[in-house]
Amino acid sequence: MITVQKLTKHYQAFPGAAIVKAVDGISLTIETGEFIGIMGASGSGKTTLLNMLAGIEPVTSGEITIANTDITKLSKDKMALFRRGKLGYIFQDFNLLDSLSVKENIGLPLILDRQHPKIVEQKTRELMNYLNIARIADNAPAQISGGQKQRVAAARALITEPAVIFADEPTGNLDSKSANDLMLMLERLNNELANTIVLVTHDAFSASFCKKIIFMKDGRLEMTIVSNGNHTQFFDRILEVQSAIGGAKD
Amino acid sequence: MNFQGIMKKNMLFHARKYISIYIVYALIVTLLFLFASLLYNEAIIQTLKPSYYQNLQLALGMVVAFSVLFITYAAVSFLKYRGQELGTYITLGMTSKQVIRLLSFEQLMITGISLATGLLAGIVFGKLFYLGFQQFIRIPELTFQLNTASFSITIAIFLSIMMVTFFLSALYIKRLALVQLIRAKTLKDATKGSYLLGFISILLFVGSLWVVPYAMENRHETLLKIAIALTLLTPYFMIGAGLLVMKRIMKIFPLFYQRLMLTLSNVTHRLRAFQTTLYLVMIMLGGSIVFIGLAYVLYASTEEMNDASNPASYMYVTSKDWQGLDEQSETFDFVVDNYARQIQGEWGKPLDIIVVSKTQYENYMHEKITTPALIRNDKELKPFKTPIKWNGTVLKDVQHLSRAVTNSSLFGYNIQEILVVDDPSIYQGDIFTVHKLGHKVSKAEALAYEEKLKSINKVDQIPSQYEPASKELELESDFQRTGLALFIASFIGLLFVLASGIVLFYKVLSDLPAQKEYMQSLERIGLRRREKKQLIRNELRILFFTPFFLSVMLVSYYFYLFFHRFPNTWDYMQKLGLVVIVFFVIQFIFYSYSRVRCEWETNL
Ligand SMILES: Nc1ncnc2c1ncn2[C@@H]1O[C@H](COP(=O)(O)OP(=O)(O)O)[C@@H](O)[C@H]1O
Ligand SMILES: [Mg+2]
Repeated sequence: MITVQKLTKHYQAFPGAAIVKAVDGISLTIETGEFIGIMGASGSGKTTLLNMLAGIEPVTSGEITIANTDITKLSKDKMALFRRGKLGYIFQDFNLLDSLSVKENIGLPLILDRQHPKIVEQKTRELMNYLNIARIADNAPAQISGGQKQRVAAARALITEPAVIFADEPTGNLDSKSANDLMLMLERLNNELANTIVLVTHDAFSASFCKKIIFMKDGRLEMTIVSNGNHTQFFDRILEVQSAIGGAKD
Repeated sequence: MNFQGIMKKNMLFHARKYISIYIVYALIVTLLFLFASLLYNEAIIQTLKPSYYQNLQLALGMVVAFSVLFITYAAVSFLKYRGQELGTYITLGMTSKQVIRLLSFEQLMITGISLATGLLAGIVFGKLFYLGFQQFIRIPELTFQLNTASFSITIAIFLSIMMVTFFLSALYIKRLALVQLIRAKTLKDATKGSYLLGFISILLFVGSLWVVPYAMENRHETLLKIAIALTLLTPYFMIGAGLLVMKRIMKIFPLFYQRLMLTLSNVTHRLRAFQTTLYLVMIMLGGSIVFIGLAYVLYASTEEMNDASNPASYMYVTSKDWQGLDEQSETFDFVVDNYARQIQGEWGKPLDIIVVSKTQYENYMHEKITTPALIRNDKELKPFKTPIKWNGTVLKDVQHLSRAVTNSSLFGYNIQEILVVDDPSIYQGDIFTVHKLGHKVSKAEALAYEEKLKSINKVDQIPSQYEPASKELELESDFQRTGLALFIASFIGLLFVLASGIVLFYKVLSDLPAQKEYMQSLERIGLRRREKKQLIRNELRILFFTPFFLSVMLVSYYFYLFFHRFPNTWDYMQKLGLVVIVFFVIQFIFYSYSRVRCEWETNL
């Protein structure tokens, strides 16, 4: 379970500059096994919120508790370990290392943890087969397509079998077929393995796979909607809310 | 905010970036100043032999040439490092003229400050420097003098170098398109290496290592040159292939590989850039280690060499045209023959050799020998293949002996080989007589003898063929020679080390933006501070110490080849070891500085 209390993040470009309240007092609870979407206009603070949840960015104030640990109190190094062991993050820009092969990129979190090579090999193999990227195992990231990169990024997020998966616009760079595949995979992870998934997206179709969606505006929570299990109905509902709040496009 | 304000702000903001370049410039000023002050030093001008003084001038010329290359390289690398910043100014609407104005303002400040500090350091450390130089060169009257000439020449040289540098920088800015400036930081040079080329070069390298001693042994000059060149060139390809092969081999041991995966792949990913830097540094370090090592061995064995080449404290030559001293001496008579041995297809030029009769020789040296015999004062005597002729006939069964018969500088350095023959007919023609004094002759006595020889023979200048030889005077001149050699070698060597350090440092500096991005990626995945530090350290270690160890290996090999026939090989190798240790310390300092700098820039 993730609980967020009165979370704020203020940016100040330089001393004396105006303060930007990227996240402005958000409280929310994400249950274990939930598949939650975060939507909102560009600049509404979605990435900032997600980054704070994953401990990549320090918070200005407030609390974030994941699995009974207040991660805002962890040191940078402890947080790094926590992130590497318990959280998976699919980055919008993939965040793949150019100098490593696809396989090495996927296994990286385990390798950093000094896991035995056999275990690393076995787990990467499994995931690559699951995501249908085994053929490109030895390629460099520069040699594969955007959709493949996205799947590699997903594989790396999943390799530690994290309890929570964060995904920042994972379908942003994908064609509709690849986007559909990726969302189906996330849905399956959520259904079969009971992973908690937090998904940031501006795409109503992707969002319709979620069980619950929160809408953000100017760093605040604007509204929450819950799916009744029917994709099409939920999709329509999302479009409705988007046009009501304004700023559908990111 | 006006333009001036922006410039000042910019300067302050980047103050830390300038520190490295400032240190380099100030150091060069100090070196130039100290060197120039030597050239204008009264004691040096008066005591140093003209040919040695010329060496000093030549060395200053080399230092200047080197400084030009070096400062230009540093300045242009620094510009590249700041490419993005400069690009931003242009994007914000600055004209390239304004950027150049900004740069000239910076350059002016830096030039002024480093000139001032460099000169100040020169004045402060001058005494120390001269004390050291004194130790090498043994001119007792030598003291540190401040003269205007050395100041003005230093300032003139440095300012001209800075002007050249600035001109080049401006050219660079003008030529570089805006896009390139902005993208300068992200230009990644991903390259692939070639195993085949590496394999061939390893074969060639090992082969030529083997050929070198063979060619030396057989005095095969062309083969030797080719082999040496190959041992120096092939490492370029070997370094590249070596890194790739290392990665391959590591993969067989996944446990190892995983530990070093990030470092190894980062290096092989940008192989070409790494390869070039590593090779360049290897050659520069190797060159200066050889240079300093040889000069050091030469210097350290000055006295020993002097002993070996001077069996007597004082010797002179007489003839029917040249009177000697009125002193008790042991003597032998000889004639000079130009055609006794003509060298063809061997190293060296045709030599004059002197011919002595068996009886005279045996009386003088107090030993029995069989004739004919060829005698050299050379510990490593190898029979010559060319025939030795005497009286029109080729001598058979010539014995080769190694003996110190005369002082090496006697007779205008002409006595290098002595042919002993059992033939009374040699004493037809001009007969010379060698005189060896039985007692020790001090420097002052030697000078007095010289004056006496001049007055007896009524000349102002002793003709070169009657030049007497004093062991003490020769030692003094030997120390001037070897001391100067060591001094110049250390100086130029230091510059080379400095240069290699700078090359490495700017490599690190220009890699920083990419490195930062890389570190950020890793941080997002969950890399801890300690692990990031380790990663930086590993990479810097490869960069700083691989070329060092490679060059030490190659240099040791050549040093051993060069000296292994000498009786003191081990002693020489130890001296080389000392030089290597000093180099290691210097390299380690460079490494530590770069590491701190790198960690500071990547916020570690
Ligand atoms: N590092 C930063 N420094 C200053 N302002 C930032 C920084 N990161 C984000 N912001 C600001 O915070 C706000 C929220 O940004 P973000 O979380 O990226 O929005 P979203 O992901 O919803 O598009 C924006 O106004 C953005 O300009
Ligand atoms: Mg975003």
